[in-house]
Amino acid sequence: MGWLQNWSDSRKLSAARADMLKARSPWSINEFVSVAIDLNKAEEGLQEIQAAIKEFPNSECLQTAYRSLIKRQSEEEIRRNREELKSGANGLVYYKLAQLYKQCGDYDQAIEFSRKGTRLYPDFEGNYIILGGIRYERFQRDLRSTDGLRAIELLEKASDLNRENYRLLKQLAEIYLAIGAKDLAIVKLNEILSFAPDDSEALKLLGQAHKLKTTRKGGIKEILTEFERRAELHDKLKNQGIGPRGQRFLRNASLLYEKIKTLEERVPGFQRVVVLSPQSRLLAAHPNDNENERYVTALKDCFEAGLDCSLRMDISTFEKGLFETENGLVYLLVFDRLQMGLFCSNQMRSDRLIQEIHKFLEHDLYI
Amino acid sequence: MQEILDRLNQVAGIKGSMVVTTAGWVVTDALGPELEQETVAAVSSHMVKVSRNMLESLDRGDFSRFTLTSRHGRMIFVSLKAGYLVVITKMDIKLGDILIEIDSAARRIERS
Repeated sequence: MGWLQNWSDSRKLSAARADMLKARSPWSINEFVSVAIDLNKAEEGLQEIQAAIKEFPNSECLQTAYRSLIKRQSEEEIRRNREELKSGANGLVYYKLAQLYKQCGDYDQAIEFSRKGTRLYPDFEGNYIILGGIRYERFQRDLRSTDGLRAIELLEKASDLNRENYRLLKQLAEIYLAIGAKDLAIVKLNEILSFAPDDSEALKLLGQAHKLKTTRKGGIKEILTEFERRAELHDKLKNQGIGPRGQRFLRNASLLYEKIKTLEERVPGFQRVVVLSPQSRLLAAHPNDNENERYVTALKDCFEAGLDCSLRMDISTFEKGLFETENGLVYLLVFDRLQMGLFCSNQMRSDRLIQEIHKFLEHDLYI
Repeated sequence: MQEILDRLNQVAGIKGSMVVTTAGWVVTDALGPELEQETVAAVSSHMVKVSRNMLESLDRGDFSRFTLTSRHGRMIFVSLKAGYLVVITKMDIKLGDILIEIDSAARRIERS
């Protein structure tokens, strides 16, 4: 590539950066990253995204863009490992592939490879660790005791296969500490200290464990159920897990009203938009009339059913639902634990509606 | 009908499918190893019932298609004359392409 091309690319990237800085939002950052990728400057895109994810932790488009960048970087390694799989595999190759897919956010593939790994090589601990790790991530997010129990079962199975895996034992100890299972945490930490007696991390955690209240009677299942109950109550009282975007609108519902009002112009055939708080109470709606109470009742049940359906189907939490009816479209969305229902006629195609609302959530609601 | 579902399941990203009557009875299914018939039928029936109640109470009519997206997967419900087709998909898919396949399968089920 000549210097002229370099100069031109740098100018394009600078222009894209300037556009992003004019109104910094996940959407505008994503636009900048797309330009960076097109100009073969993926590294700059990755740097920007890594910083932005900390700034906008609940942004869907940043997570998607980050994963696709990692996927690009991992393509060659994935291809190499897949080749290795063909020419006689072992548990480690399945583990490596599962790990790579997990990093890329492709959980379906990660689960598929690690499950196959446990089936074919049941004495190799790595694939249980991946499955347990995925399950634990889900437990941390959805706070369902069933996920926590499954995560512990898988990680304990891995620990039985290798009693000196430091990272695994530490992870188990941290999980037990987090859910308040004092005795179990102490057992795991003592296991670490048996082969690494001076380990400062383990000693620190052991100190924390001894300060915890004594574990109540009952098995791990009961401890997790109690943890789920406490966490749910805490979430409800403190609106935990809501990102800065949601917090802003919970504090200032009239600002949210001003934002959602603009949808009338942006969505052809717009009829109504209703936003509910995490406790399913009316937060803002447009038009703001007496009809809204009827909408709140109907939407509340549907959001609850969507969440219940998703959790029971083991596909984690409900995010979106699009109903296509002969009278129009109904689009349900959950963002930062706020619940939004949008109603419009068939004037707009469903894919265009999805794009428009995506931009509204990832750009307009952030600026 | 079974053949239609089996063929549909061969589309990349589809984990399983099922035809359920409005009353919640399973007509036929082609579910992958991770999916239990009883759970899918119960969960789908409840979701469809609540959705229809919502749409009816808000004078929206019945849905022809309902796409539910969760963090780790999707469920697509297509209304049939005497029930509905439910399809469970992975997350990492091109939704547009899959919807074409699902609609086509639903039309063939209606004709069968």
